[in-house]
Amino acid sequence: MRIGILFWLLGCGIALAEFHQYSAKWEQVGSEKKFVLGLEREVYEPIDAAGRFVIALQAGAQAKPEAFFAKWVVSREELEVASGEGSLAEGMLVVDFPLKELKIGTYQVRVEVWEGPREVGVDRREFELRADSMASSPISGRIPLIFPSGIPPTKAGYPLSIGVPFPPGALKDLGRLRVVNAAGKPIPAQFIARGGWGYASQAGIRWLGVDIQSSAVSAWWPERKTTPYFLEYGLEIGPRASTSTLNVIQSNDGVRVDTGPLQFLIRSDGFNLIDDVTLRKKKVLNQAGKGGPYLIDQEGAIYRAANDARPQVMIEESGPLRAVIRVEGWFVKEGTSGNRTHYRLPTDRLCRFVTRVEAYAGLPWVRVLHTWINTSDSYHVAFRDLGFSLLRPENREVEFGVLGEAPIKVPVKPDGVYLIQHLPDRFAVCREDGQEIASGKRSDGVLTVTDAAGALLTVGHRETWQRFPKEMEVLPDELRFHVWPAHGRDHPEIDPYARDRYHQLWFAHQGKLLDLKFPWQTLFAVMRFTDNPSTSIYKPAGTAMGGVQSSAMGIAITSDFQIRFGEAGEVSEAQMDAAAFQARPVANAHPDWVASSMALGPIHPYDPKRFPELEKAAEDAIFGIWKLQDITGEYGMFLYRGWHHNPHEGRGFWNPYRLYSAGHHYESYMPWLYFARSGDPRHAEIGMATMRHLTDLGMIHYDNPRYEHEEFETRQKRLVGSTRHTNGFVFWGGDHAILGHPTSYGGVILAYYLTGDLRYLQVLTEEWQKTLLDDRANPQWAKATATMNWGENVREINRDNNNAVGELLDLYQLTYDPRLLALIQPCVEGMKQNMYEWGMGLENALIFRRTPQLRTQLIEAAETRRADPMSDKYKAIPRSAMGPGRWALAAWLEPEKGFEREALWEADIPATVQFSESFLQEASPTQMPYEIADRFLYQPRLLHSTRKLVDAEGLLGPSQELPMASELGGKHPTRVVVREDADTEFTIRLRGTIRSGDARLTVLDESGGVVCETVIPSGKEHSVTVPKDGRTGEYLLLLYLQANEDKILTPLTNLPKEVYPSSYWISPTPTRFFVGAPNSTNGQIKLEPGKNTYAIESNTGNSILMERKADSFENPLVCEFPSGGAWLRIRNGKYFSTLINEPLIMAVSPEYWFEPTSAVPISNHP
Amino acid sequence: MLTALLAKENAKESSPELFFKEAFVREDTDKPWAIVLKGEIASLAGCYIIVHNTQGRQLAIRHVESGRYPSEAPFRIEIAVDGETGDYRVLIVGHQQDVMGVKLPMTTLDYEVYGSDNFAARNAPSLWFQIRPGEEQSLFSGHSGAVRVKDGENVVLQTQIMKGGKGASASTTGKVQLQPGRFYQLEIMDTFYFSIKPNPLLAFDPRRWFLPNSDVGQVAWWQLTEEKP
Repeated sequence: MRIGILFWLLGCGIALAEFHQYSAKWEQVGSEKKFVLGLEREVYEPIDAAGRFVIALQAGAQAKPEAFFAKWVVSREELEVASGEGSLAEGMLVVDFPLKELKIGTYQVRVEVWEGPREVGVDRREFELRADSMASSPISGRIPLIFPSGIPPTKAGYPLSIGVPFPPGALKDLGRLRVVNAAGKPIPAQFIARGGWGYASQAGIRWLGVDIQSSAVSAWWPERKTTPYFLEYGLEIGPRASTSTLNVIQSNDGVRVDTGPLQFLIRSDGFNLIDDVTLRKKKVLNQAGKGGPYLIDQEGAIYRAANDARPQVMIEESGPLRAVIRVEGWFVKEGTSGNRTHYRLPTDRLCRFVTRVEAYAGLPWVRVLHTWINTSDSYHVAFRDLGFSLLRPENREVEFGVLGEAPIKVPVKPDGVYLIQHLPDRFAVCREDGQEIASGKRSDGVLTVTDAAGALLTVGHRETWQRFPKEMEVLPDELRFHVWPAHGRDHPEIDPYARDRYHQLWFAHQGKLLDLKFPWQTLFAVMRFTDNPSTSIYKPAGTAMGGVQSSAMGIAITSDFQIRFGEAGEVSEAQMDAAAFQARPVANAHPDWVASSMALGPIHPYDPKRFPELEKAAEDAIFGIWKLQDITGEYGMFLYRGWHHNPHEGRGFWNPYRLYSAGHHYESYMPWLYFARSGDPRHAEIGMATMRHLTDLGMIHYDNPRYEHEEFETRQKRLVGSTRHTNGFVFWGGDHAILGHPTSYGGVILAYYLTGDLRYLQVLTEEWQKTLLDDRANPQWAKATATMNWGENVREINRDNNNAVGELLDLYQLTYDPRLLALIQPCVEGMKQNMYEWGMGLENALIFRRTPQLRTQLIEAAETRRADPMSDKYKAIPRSAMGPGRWALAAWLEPEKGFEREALWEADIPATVQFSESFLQEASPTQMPYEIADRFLYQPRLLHSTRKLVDAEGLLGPSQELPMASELGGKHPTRVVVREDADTEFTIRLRGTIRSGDARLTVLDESGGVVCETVIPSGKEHSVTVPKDGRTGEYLLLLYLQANEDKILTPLTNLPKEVYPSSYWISPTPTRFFVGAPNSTNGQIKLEPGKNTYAIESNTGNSILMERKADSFENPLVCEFPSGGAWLRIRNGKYFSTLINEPLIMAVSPEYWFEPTSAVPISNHP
Repeated sequence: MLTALLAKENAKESSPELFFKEAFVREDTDKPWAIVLKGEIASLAGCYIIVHNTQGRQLAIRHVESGRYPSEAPFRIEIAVDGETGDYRVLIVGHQQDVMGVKLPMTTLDYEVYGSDNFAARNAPSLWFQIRPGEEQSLFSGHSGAVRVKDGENVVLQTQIMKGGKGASASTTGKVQLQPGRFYQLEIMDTFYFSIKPNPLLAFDPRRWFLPNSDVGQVAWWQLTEEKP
């Protein structure tokens, strides 16, 4: 049973008939006597099924929690609904309650906490029960499953684990599910709930895990058409018959597994990976106690997992198609008792392992996910070898797979043979004496060994060349896979400190020893290249000094293997299985279903037709940075594939200040969000590499409190489960946090939901959550949350608090551990004081907790900013910068208010396109990589909010509000000049909102003669036709409108040329107009002040004038203008003006722009 | 008077620790001399000692392993007779705690002073300094505490809490007119970090104080750090 899921399952079993109170263990920390009343949600809807609140005690110094108790009352309209009283001896009281017997209305929760006869305090909070806001979810349906990169052919099928989201309340019963093929025929499947919509099962499953096995399937991407399987759910689907060939049995000596063709033992009395293996009744492997995972220290001592007398063995998941057996323990030195543990030599126990063996029904192979965790002091301990061995006699021949080329076949001589991938693009096949037999570029990660009887043993390792160095070695009686090579090579031809090399961390990727001491020479190189010796942490050499001062204790390396057994003659089957494993197929629910499920909030699926610019911009940035990392050689087991914080400066030079980042702008969430909504397999590839990197190297998995090491600058030690930040040059150094802005556990959670990877779940629940809840007294806990304010003394930048809201609510929805509510409550209170945007904080608070105050503040912020961004009222709203994601969220919450228009404008498409294109340039500097997440994290929501607007108005095209002349003592005409190149009838279409009752339109010809004159009735749309009149040329449209009431969208006519000359205009919404070369003689435009800022961009998107205000009328903003014209962008303000004699001539695009003849009176300055 | 003041200082029971960015030493006659590093290099990474002259010639670049270096077994860098006299800069590149762990003076030369944008001190007796010619007004700041400047027995400045500062973490500051060529004492009262602008050079013993050739401070020492094959 996984601890993390325990509370969710407990919830499943409660009888929803009454308020149910129970205690939970809440660690006592802090000297002050106080308590937290933590609500699960502030607004419930019946679909949530059940509610919860907690009372968490902080007894304070010298007080014993046994002396405390709490009284609580829940009332509605001053009538008591329920009450209770309970001891706080455990530190926390949890109250669960059903919703179905509660009436719609507002409920007060009043809590008193007493210490014996003395009252400690009283607290009150409210929650509301409202009618459901969403239409009820369909309780049956058919969900297409997609296989983005297809499934390669195999003889017996390939196993896939899929994450399928469901809307609230749609799926409550795992028995009402099946997977069918395109013909409707059910296929074997296994289901597990990975997360729920509430702690009670009645709320429904939010993320379902689906395991299937599939034959060959063609790729769904990029055509996006083939959907060979469907997941069906609903009441009409009956229970499934069990026809599994997979048996998993706990026995005295471990866990015995039978997949049908393959039987093996996972030993609990000397874990040696897999043992006692038979294939179709024939013995194919007997480890005799000594094989399995091992390591060798720098002195040559051998440590084996098999020497750990007390490994923990557990069946993590088991079903008809797939079982996962997890073993974890220590590497114990040969010949020792295993009792002495030290982080330096000598020690009996050196490093931990977590190894998962994943078995599949009907298949002759297992997947091994093997995690090595460093427990040593990297200033004193190094390694000669990390790996595992399979003891098999009579190995005769080995075939090493080569990427894109024929495999290399070599006989196994008595002294053995090995392949070493010693560079990302170089491998060598050698005899034990080092003599090179063959060489090449890239191993495909697969070796197949044939024994004297022709039986096959195939081992495949994923991302072998990407995670170099790696070695595969075959001896007559043993196969060894070296995660760190036993025959490592040095590369004196590579200057590890060259400017285009030092980011590649060569100290960790070459040589005989795995020595993770960061070289001083890198620090000096950074000083030289930046010509700056400062080791302030905010300087490049300071980050490098963070690396010098870093220790690798607590890092992990997870390796992903396939071990396959085959009979003589099964070569092609083995090759197909190996190729399929290396292809790493993925599956997903159809993106339309994912988006509609609301499990990821309001997001729009991939939609290049409707949003070509934004979809392309996201792809350019996300794939562009990945490509740049390829180009700049970012490979290696301690490098592949982290995030950069600062730009690539071109020519292979990465800016060394904050060179790497563990992803503190929520980068880790991005690939999984984009994969889920698109099905593009490239996102999955990125997601898998970066998530493994983050959960191995960007997080801390082990601590020895006696270890004296402290990080540079922050002087932090280690805290299990915390996330690294940016200040270490390597991924395992610098500062770290367990809550705060540097973390992005939400990405790990989403990756778990989508893939079912149990290593991610372990990191989340057994490291992060465990430390969060059960290790609060650890002094490192306070240091790793040092920037949190817990709702008090909230500062201007509240990113730590607000990111924690998002992270904690995501974690709560994963585990429903009620204790998390005690941490969430003060953070939500802090967010109410300051809504600074970071991660998914506000989203989760609004979507899960439905916090009314935050909703009100967001809508108020949107409305007041729309009205006047410089107003005191807007400034008074607690820090609510309205980025496109915020506008989109407001638009989703209040669809009738039209905030989507602002959302789209804030997205600033030209700037976004320009930003993204920088990542496609190898030679020139990029923008800041961390901004990729800043720009695109909320884009799927933006597209969701704006899709209807785009459909209606094509706003991504040239439609926006007409700059309106202001009213001064009556309506002042807004001027529009159009040009007719051939005599034709044309239509003036007035779309928008006409509220003023006396609006009118006059059309003049070039000579000033009235062509037509008409009253514009109130309404949304009105058309005026100007008939053919036997002439061509310009027409002046004078629109007498009420600037603050009426809104008209551009363009107004179907003519190819249309401009809006103005020297004084009102524009309450953001606009971007093309302005031709100004009619001033010196090529300048002058912009006068108001409560406004202006930005000017060239026709190619380059910034000419950054967004700023003019100082005064006497000192206007003067901007040199390119002869081809430029874009004027305004995002803030309402009133804009130029000099009276130099009006701007604006158009929706360069194609529409022309310079009216002087015959037409265009100036409108009052 | 100076002797009396020194005697008073020496009577204080303390193991002074000072964080500084760079030390300057003077070799007034050509002779063998040495960096004699005593104390503790606490950070596991150790530190680097770099020594160069006014011309940008690097005399030493050596890594010092983490550990304790007792007086009887110090870490030594010997500088042989080389036909050169003059001023040198000695840098300890490493963690702040490593710099503070080094017992001062750290060379066998007679003159040794310490400079920095920001200093930190613990258990420090008075530090002695002179200002450079032309630098008559000096700004002293203490982080979460005060410093005091004395001219002989006279206190000429005690830094005060800055306007708006509150509580124990408030910074202090103060300006004072000082005379070049005259020794002043700096007393670290209840602060750890402090700074002085313009940056004077400090010494624990006025007899070791000197004003080094300004060229030595202009050398881009970090450009000398590349290891030659």
